[in-house]
This record gives sequence, structure tokens and C-alpha cells, in this order.
Amino acid sequence: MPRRTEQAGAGPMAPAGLDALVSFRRVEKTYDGRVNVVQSLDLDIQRGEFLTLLGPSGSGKTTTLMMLAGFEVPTGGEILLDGRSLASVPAHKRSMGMVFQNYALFPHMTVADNLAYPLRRRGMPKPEIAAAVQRAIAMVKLTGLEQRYPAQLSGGQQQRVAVARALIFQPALVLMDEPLGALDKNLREQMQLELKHLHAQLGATIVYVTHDQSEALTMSNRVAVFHEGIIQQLASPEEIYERPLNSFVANFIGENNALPGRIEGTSAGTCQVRLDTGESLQALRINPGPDGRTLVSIRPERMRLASDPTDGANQLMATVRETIYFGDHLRLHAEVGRTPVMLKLPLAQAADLSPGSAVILAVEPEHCRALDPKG
Amino acid sequence: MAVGGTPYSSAGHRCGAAAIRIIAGLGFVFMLVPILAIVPLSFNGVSYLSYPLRGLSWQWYGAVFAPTPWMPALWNSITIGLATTVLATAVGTSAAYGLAYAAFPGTRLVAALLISPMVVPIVITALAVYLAFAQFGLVQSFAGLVLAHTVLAVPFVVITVGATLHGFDRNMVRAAASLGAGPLTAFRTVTLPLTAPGVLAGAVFAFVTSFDDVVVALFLAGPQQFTVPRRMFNALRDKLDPSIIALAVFLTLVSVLLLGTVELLRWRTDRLRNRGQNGT
Amino acid sequence: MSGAGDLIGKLRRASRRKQLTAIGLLSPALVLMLVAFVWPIVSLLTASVRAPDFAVAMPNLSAWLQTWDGRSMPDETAYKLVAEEFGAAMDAKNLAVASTRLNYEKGGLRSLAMKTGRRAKDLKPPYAEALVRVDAAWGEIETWRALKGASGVFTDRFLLQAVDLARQPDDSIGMVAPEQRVYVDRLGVTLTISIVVTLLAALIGYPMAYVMAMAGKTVGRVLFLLVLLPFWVSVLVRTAAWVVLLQKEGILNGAMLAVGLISEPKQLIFNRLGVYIAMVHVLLPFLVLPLYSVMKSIPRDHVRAAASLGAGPVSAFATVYFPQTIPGLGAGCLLVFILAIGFYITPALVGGSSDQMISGIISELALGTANWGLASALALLLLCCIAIIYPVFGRYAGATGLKLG
Repeated sequence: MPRRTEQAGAGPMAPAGLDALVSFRRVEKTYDGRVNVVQSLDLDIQRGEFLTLLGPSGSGKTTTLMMLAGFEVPTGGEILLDGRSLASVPAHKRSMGMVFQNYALFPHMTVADNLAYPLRRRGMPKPEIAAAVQRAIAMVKLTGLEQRYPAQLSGGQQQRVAVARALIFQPALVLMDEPLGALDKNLREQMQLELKHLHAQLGATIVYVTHDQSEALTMSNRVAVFHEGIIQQLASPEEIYERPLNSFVANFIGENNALPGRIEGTSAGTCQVRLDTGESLQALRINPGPDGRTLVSIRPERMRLASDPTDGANQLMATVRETIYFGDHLRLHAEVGRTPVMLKLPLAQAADLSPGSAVILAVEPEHCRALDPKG
Repeated sequence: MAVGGTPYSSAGHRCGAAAIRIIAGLGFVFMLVPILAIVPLSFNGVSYLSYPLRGLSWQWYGAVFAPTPWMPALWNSITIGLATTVLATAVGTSAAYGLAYAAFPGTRLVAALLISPMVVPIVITALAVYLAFAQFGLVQSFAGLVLAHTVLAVPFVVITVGATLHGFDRNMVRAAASLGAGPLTAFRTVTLPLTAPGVLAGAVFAFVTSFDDVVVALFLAGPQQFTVPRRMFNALRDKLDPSIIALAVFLTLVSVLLLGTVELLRWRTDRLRNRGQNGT
Repeated sequence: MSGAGDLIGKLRRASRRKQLTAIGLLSPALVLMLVAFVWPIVSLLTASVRAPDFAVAMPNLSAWLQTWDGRSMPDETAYKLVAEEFGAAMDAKNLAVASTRLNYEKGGLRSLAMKTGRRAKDLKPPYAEALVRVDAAWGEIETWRALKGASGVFTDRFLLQAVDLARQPDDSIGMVAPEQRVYVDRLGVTLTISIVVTLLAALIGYPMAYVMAMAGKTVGRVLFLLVLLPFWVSVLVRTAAWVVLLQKEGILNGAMLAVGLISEPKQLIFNRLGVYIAMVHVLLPFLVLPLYSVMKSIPRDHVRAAASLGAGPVSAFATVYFPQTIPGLGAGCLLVFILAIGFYITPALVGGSSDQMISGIISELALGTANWGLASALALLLLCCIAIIYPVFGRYAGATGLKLG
């Protein structure tokens, strides 16, 4: 599917292949011989970037990471590292640091021994190992805990040891499989920042797997959104959020209002959509469906209440269902015809928002994106 | 019957709860009392096996540790037990690893086959092995007895080691590989240290299986291989004398030590396991 | 660049290598089990239908007997074969086993066979008269019918005998004489003892497991070890302890006499009561431990939830708690029953002669009278009983996980 390679090139980074550290070439993986968990994957990972593979469970993102690490063998295609095929390189010779979901710290070894493990395997002299371990411990702010066993550490501390262990042998590539999944919310946000800073500081290439979209948006240079074994969109976090290429990405990332309708007329990049509820609106023509059916995708914060009926924007008649107080903003749940929509509004509102009252919603055409309803 | 100690139970329910406690209490007493009750009798000054004791003496223990007849039997029990332990632990541990890594159909069947000696009545196994071994001159031989005991002990090793491997985090091996350890190094530095307590516990089970066996010894042991239980069985059928009780107390002590060992190993496994999880 | 086909080949090779490793690891245990367990068991079971000793020792005579109609008296050919082959078997030293086989057909034939074998060399034709002179039994058709019965390689006599049946003279199957009907009775005793022991263990063990599961961490641990300790003490040691406790001048009788509960010592051992007590003691941990592990995994909130929904303690127990313990109870009961049905040592030491179970009979037949055929047939009978129960046990044990100690 060459179309997806073009999408990969549409990202903000350098064009594909220019400085790719890792290249997936038509990589496929099937466990049962019938269903491909990963379908003809083409992906270039740029040197030094923080790339997140994001998707729901079963989307193929973890399998992709495991094939890169050498724990799963592709059933088709090949993976290149620095231009050389990895097909005959076993996991322990790939020199990729890896942070596992539950850390996989060796419970029978102290923190220092865990950190020294990869260096011993590489035959580094003892004094150098000790120095490197000290540096790594300082880097993740665990000085004084060298002789503790993993069980004697808190979850966050274990996580830092796992990260330090994956970085200590200075691998060009670091793989992370949902490393923050086991932490509570506050700690997770703190670790997100720390990982981001470590990445900036060390310049290593990081491939990060998660199903948490906020994690993907806050940390990455680029995000690859996986669904059903296919990369749906590969772009910067801002691009993914503001300009989703299809309705899966629009729905999966952030909150989304999807209004079904039919395309009636098109002109230079925009189109006129007749919604199923009868209203007509102008939208960007992104990825129209083959038969003229479309879903118009609008972010909740891009819609507002129309103060002036002659406003240049699209206008929709809606009925208020419910308002919810969120402290810093107000959420308005309303219906356009039968289609539910949600708006994020500033707190001070003059209009009558009691359930059942009629309101006019306004949205600029550049924030309406006509997408194929099927994907 | 009151469950979970609801604080507002009626009198009737409290009676029910008390009845449960009483039955359970009697059950625990029933489990323990016969083993405890014989201990003082082994120190009786005279050769009666009844209370009250008439004087205290070590004479019955002296009889147990006299050159004959128990010492040769004890020596046989220990050597046969150790040989069985080595063989069954090696074979059973290897099989447990094989079962853990096997991905082919029929694994369940293989597992059932390896466990089956636990289900077949021991007399049938003993008789079958006796008839089969007779064709190779293995009856009344050390090797034959060890081989038969190994068959009985392997299921215990497979189950014990298998349970340890079942809880073993496969990501540990992957982590070792990602850090540069080849398969053999990963086994030596990660898999083996983490599963060793389970293997040791399996070895203790193997030893106890051999050490406690009467029936197979009844069929296969010649006078040169008479083990302690084999001799004790004859003695119990014959006449009960206090030296047998002294021997029983001694064997109980050995059992307590072995149980302690296994509990310690189990505790170690748990501790290693929990280290792998969140320490919080 | 390697093609996709090559990569799939690599995948196949990789998984094949993994499987070969697994098979390599499993093979020592498999070889051991096949050679030292499966093959012996299979040949033991075939021994229950195979009795070739006579046919092997007397091949030509056996061949002739197979063609004989069994009604008319045999002719000189047969007598000549007897003289030749009994002598040959004597020389080949397999007359003894062949005559043992004969003896199963008809009592007293062993001595006839041995006598004939010793004097076979001196016999002169006509052999019919010569053999009748050796023993008049050679002139009786019953002797020849017994020989015919022993001449086949396969026989159903042991299987039939194991359930108190036998071939009648007219070759139909019928009950043996009342005084010989012993094995069905033994099977009944075996099943009765196993069922009673299982029920007693369940009645005592359920409250024990419950109290263990509900106790606090430390107390629960202590009680757990209390149940585990007897589990580790040798069956022989525990049986010896019960003999000491239960005998006429034993501790229990002494105590009951002292408090005036009885006026003279009661017979508590070497009867069914002693068997029940000692067997329940040996098998109780096998019921308590699986039940305990199931009970421990039941959240206490379930019963609290039932209470909050209006169930009283009894109905909360009956409708919420008990149903969740059934897998553990089932696994424990089946484990106890399967182990009880094969018991030998305990009934042999604390039971009377009417309390001996099938295992004891098998051992006695094998070690005492060397009647392998009947011992094998009884073994088959016992295995059939277990085979009926084992699948049920497997289903429950799979759910709860068989834990050792």
C-alpha cells in the first residue's frame, strides 16, 4: 500500500529514507496464518526522534515493537537497521535498550547489579562498570539506592531503574513498551516529562508504544496511529490532533463531534455538505468517501454559540440537553437534529442554556473536516 | 452458619458459628494428637506402650541407632532416596522446562502421562514394575528400586517445578536478551537463579517419595535393599515394641525438618516473585 | 535482500528449533515413563488375558488340543504328544510354570503334571495305557478338558474370576460356587470404605478449611502448617501411632475407662472403625488443602454484598459462599476417593481380615501365591473404577490447580 508511505512522508520531519535509522519494508506478521496482525508496514524511524506507536489494544503496535526488538519474527517483508537487514540478527545482538511494561527488573539482583548486567555481557572492565553505574544512577536520581533490591523500591523508582538499565550501554535505539502503564496518574505525568528531558539530553532514538493518547501527544516528535495492523496517520502531535486524515484518527485522538452527511458540491479544497439533519455547511475536503457519504469532524473547542446570526461561519440549529460545570470551562451537550454534539465553552455565558432551549452553533469552515465515514 | 463474622448475628447463628469452630477445632486436634501422643511413649522406661509412663529412658532410641537392624535399613533408605532424588530431579526438571516452552499440540497429553503415576494405585505400579523388571534381572536390585522410585517421584518434581515456571515472568528472559545476554547466558544468570527454589522443593518431594515408600519396596527390595519403611512394615505386622515408636518419632522429626525446608523455599520463591512486581 | 518465502522459512525454522528444544527436554522423562511405567502397566494388563505358559511349554500338544472337540476321549496321538512334550518341558525347565497354569484350570493338576513330567522319559507305547498307569486321571475326560482350557494363549478366566464368574462345563458364563465368591465382595468393601472415608473427610475438612480461610494471616498460617505437617509424616508412622492409640490397652481406651465412659476396653482397631479413623487421618489434608486454596480466593465482599441485599447469614452462605466452594470441595473429594480406592498399607495394618481392600488382595495374590493372571485382572478392575472417576477429577483439578503442600 504505497499510499501510506506517502503519508509517512507528509510528516514534518525529513523525507523518508534520508536519515532513517530503522526502516520497515512491507513488514507483515500473522500468528495464525489467516489474519495479519501487522499488514504490509512501511515505516521509517528517523535518527534521534521520539516516535510513538499509538493505538488501541490489538492494533499491531506492540507486535511491531516486538519484531523490531527481535522477540517476534516477521512473516513477510524485512526490517533494516542502518540499511542492514535484521532478519538474521538475534535479539541479544541487536543492541537496542528496552523498557518493559512491568519493568522486568531482575528481582534477585540489586539495583547496581541490574544496571551492570548489560555492561558485564559486553565484557567491560570492572572499574569502568562501577563508574558507568554511578553515572546512570545519578542520571535517574537514585543515588544511595544502589544496594537495594527492586522489591524495596517504589513503582516510580523501579521505573527509573528500568529506564537507566535500558540506556546505560548507550544503545542507538531505545524501545519502550507502555512503560508508564503501572504508575498512578501524578507519577505518570512526572515521568512523561522526565523521559522527554532524558531524550533531549541523550539524543537517543526512542520508539515508544502506548494506548494513552495524552502520553503520545505530550512526549513525541511524531506519532504513528495504528488501527487493525495499519498505520492510519503518521505525523507530529499537533498535526494528528488538528488535522486528522480519517475518521478513525479523529475519533481516537481527543474528543470529536462527527456529523454525518452527503457532499453536494466541491471547490478548491472545500466542499458543501448537506447534513442528514437537513442543515448545510462548508467543510475542508480531506478524505471524502467514495459514494459521497461523509462524516464532518469538528473539535468541541472549535464550536461556539453564535452571537450574531450574520456571522460568516457555518451555523447549526441545536437543542440544549445538558450543561456540565468543569471548573475551568463549561460543557454543553446538545443535539443537532438527532445527532449529539458537545461544546467546550468559556464559563460566562449570556445565553439561556436550560435543557430544551434552542441555540445556534457556529463553526469556521477551516475547522470542519469532511472525512470518509469508513476509515 | 454465620459467614464473615457479621456483627449483628442472632443467637442461633452464633451457635452455628460456634459449631463450625468446634468441629474444625476437633479436626485440627485429630490431625495432630496421634503424632504428639506417641512422643512421650518413646521415652518410656518399660516396654509398655501405654500411659502412665514408668520412668524415662533413652533405651529405645539406643535400639534404633544400634548397628542392627535399623542402621543398615536407614543407610539403604538414604542412599536409595538420594539416588532417586538426583535422577527424578534431573529428569523432572528438564520435563517441566520442556512443558513450559513446548508449543506443539499434545502438550496436555504429555503432561497427563508424566503425572499418571500419581493416580495409578501404588500396588498396581509396584506389581507391574516387578513383573517388567523381573525380565531384566532388576528385581531385588538397588538400580531397580531407584528406577521404580524415580517413576513415582517424577510427577511431584514436574508439578512443583512447573508451578514455579508458571509464575515466572517470560519478560525476564526477553529483558536479558535485550541487554545482550545470549540464550545460555540468560538461562544461567536469570532463569536458573529465579527458579532454583522450585527445583530444590521438587528435589525434597522426590526424596520424601522414595523415603516413605513401602509398597514398591515390598515388591522390589531384596534383603540387601530393605529400607526403613519396608522393615517397619514387617515389624508392625509382627509386634509393636517401643523401639518402633522411637523410630517413628525420629522419622517425624525428619519430616518436620523437610517440611520446614520446603516452606522456606516457598517463602523464598514468593519473595523473589514479589521483588519483580511493584514494591509499593 | 531476502524474499518473503525465505523469511517464512526462517519463522518455521525458528519455531521448529523451539519445539525440538522442548522435545529434547521432555524426552528423558518420556523415555523413563514409557519404559518403566507405561510398558509395565500395559504388559500387566495384558497378563490378565494372556496365559501362554502351557501353550509355550507344550506347543504341539496345545495345537492338537485346540482342534479337539472336547467330547470324545482323545486318541493315541494325543497321549504320545503328552509323553513327548511333558518330558521336553521337564528338560527345558518350564514344566513348573506350565503346571501352575494347569492348576488354575483344575485343582490337583499341578502334581499330576509334575509326576507325568518326571516319568515321561520311561514311558513306552502304547502311551494311553502307560499314562493311565502313571495316574488314573489321564483316563478321565475332565483332565483333558482342563488341558484344553489351558492350551490357548488368551483366556478370559482371570477377568471372569475377578468378578466371581467362571466358564461352566458347557462353556457358558455363570457365577462361581457361593463359597468362592470373594472378589465382588472385596470390591464392595473397597468402594464402601472409600465412600465413607470421603464423606467423613468432607464433613470434618470443610469446617477446617473454612476456619483456616477466615482466620487472620498468622493464625491461618499456623493452621495451614498444622494440616500440612501430618501430610509430610510417613503414612507408616501415622498408622503406627494409631495402633498405639487405639489398641485395647491404648491411650484412648485408657482415657475412656478413666472417665468412666466405658466399663471394659473396646475393640477400636483391627476392625472397620480403625480403618476409617486411620484413613481419614491420612487423607484429610488432601481434602482440606484444595478447598482452602479455593476458599481463600473468594472475596469477603461477596458475602457482605449478599447481606446488603437482604440475605441472612444462612442464606448468604447457601446461595453465595457455598456454590463458589464447590470446585474445591469436588476436587478434594475426588482426590480423596481416588487415593482411598487404592489404599493398601493402612487397611493391612489396622484392619481386620474382612476390611482388606482390593489393593491388599492384589498384593497377596502376587506376592503370596504368584497368581499374576488374577492379580492383573483385579488391577484392571481397580483401574477401570479410577478411569471412570479420573476425567471428572481432571476437570475440577484443572480449575483449582493441584497444589502440593
